[in-house]
Amino acid sequence: MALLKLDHISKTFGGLNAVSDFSMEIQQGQVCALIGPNGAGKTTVFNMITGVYQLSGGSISFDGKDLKGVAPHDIVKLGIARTYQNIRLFKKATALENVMTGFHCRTKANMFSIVFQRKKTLEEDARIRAESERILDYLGMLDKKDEQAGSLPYGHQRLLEIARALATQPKLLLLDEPAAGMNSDEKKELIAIIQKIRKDFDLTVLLVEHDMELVMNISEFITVLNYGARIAHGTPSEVQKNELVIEAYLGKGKGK
Amino acid sequence: MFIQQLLNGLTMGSIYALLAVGVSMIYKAMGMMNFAHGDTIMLSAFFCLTIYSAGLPLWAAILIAPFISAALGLCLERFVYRKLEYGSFSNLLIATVGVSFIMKNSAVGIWGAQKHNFPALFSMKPIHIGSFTILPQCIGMLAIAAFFVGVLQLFFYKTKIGKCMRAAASNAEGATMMGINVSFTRFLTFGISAAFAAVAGILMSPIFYVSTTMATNVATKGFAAAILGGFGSITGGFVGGLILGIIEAIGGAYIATAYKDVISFVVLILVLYFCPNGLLGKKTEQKM
Amino acid sequence: MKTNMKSGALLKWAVVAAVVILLPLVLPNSYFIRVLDLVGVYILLSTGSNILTGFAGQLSMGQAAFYGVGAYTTGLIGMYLGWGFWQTLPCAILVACIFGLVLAIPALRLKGGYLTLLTIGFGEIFRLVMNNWVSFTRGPSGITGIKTVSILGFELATKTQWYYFIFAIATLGLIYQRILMQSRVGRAFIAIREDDQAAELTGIDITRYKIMAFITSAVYSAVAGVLYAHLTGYISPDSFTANESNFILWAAIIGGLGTYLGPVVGGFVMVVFPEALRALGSLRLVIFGVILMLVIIYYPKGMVPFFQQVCARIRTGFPNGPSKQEQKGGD
Repeated sequence: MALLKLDHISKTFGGLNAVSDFSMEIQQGQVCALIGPNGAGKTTVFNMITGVYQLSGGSISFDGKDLKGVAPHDIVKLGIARTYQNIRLFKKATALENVMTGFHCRTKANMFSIVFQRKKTLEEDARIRAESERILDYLGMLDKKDEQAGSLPYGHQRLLEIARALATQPKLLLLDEPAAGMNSDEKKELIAIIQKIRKDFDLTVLLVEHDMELVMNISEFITVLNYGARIAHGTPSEVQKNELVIEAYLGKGKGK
Repeated sequence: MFIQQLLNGLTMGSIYALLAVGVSMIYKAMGMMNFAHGDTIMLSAFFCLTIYSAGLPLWAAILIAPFISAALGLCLERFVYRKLEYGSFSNLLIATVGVSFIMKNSAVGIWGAQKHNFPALFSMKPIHIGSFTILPQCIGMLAIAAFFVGVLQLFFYKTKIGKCMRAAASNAEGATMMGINVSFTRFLTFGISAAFAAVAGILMSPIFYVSTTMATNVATKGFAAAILGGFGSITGGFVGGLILGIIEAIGGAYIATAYKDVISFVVLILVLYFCPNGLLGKKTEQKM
Repeated sequence: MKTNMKSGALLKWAVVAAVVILLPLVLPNSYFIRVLDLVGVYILLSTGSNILTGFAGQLSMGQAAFYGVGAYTTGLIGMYLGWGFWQTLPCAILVACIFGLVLAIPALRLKGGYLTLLTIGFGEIFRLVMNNWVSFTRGPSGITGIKTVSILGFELATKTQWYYFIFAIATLGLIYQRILMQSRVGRAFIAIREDDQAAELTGIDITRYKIMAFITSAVYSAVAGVLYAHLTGYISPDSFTANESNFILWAAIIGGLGTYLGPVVGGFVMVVFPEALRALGSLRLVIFGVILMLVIIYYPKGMVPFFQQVCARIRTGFPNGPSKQEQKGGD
């Protein structure tokens, strides 16, 4: 059974079709990529999966459950985490606090228990603090844990977004242009990290990316989107040879 | 009765309209809520009154006061608001509250807390239209408000500097790259807004008398009117002001006079809840 | 290192506690202590503002309404039912929860200027209703003769007794603020302040947490209102104006939004300065306003972060000084 199934989904903004009749399936454990020229609707698809946008048509199911009407924070709880094209960290909180915030949906403390069940609260807090530190350590940025997220170097901010997403203990990780603004060394590192976390955290990964090198390198399946519609789907080598794709990128598109 | 209340509402409505336009302009140009606008109005009225009491003719006082207010607005922009980074919403907002506090208490210190009379600008003889009566001041205020809003609209849409100011207001970064001096357009917007406050202040003076609290209540309602018309639009602010004035007059007449002010705030909250873009604003789905 | 830090902090707090306890004993007369009582009330008010605006990022300029909710619940219940503090307090907290919820619901969708105007409108409606509903609230003439607090039969009679009572409650309020903000709930508040959409997509139910922030803030302000009503014995709509809301927000900003001790500094400044400047006569409020403006222009983050900077500088100058890095704050 597919972990994530997008079934003929579409989204219109005031008469403009951002995504139309788009279908896609991702199997448990795969690394898939969603590519396409600028404005093809890739981020819109992410926003539909995570519940930011209501669907104009079609349906999305995750792990056998229909996501229609599920609030975004509950979707996170079901196991979908994401990062953003333009980094959206909690800038004035420290790196560690950012990761700890990720554990929110896996913890229980509330306004009363923090006083009346003090011991339990402190235990829970200590546990997620330790786990958050472990995640930061795993990504090689434990030494940055007390720095303000907004003041970290760009590459670390990208990593921190991944750390925060991992903290929500997802089954599916959505990466929105994780390599944007990175140089080739950083990209190589990123590829290694994605492959590592995928194995160690037992993740399924869907990424939106412009960087073809990264996409071809890492993904098992690629779906190509243009003007909100799917124009190709297949393994990297299949997609590379696809006429429509070549045309979309080189012919009319303004892709990189 | 109903139409009579509607006509009564237009007088207050034109004051709200002037206020709404003044605060909308600032909100649009620099994304800040100017809580000192009401106090600029109050100070302008005092400027005008002081010049008049000094022996100058009324028309001269009325012509000079807006320039003094504009100068005051320009100084505030240059020496206070510019020092706070534009974009820090809460600090800018609280700074305008501080400026308002200082202005009000300075006025109390200089002119005292009592009410001062101001000469009438229009004849007090009511005009009868059929079975309804209307005061000339109502017509006069509406006409003057409409005139100035029209002028402002022309300025923003037809002149080069006006277009630059709009460009800077909608996208400061983009405008900078196009070679527009954004900090200058902000400076100018502040001056115009303050001059606008003076017009409102002078029009209000004969009705409310000149006092340090003359604009306290009205100022918040200016914001309510601006919201009603869709914050940031000049014509919207004007229409929003008139609507608020009419709602208040009719609500006061049919529900309870004591709760006239409550009604306008309830309307504000309802508008915020049901159509935050204003009655005239367009609905758009936000793209992330 | 940890025990060293702990004992250092303990020593520091012992000194603070000693100062707070001894302060009324060294002040020359009850006028000063009365001012301090009001500082205590203001600490609670600005803590409420700090939680809502400083931590959860919801700019509220209607805090005086919550303050008034506490005071009027006390006053009205006292007037109609003759109940005392221990009965009115839970009632006021309950009413505050309801009012917090009432404001939170429209506030959920709004941001920036729209949210601010909503809170202003809310505050004005409250004041106007209290002012105009004469048959119920006695309108502008206010409610008099509110009884003082009695604790196990012991009545708070002097300003000094009140001082200890108010400061005990304010201290509890500050401790809870700190516990709250270092917990899962506090992290959710901060996440909402920083980026509410990203917070939602990190698994935080932002609707629920925004409502919680409004209610918590309302409860803090209402408790302050209850104390104020019992302390002064008299309330009127004039105490809960838009100007009062501005002062409450100001207290939080001057102290430092999103810091744990900001409300203390802010509450102190907002109450003591206008009193201290009394000698200047009619100009005092102008000068007070100018002082506030200077702080906002030159120390936009507030006094507490500024003090921390100064302390850090002193500490690096004196490496043997106490080394506890206190008050990181969520800012």
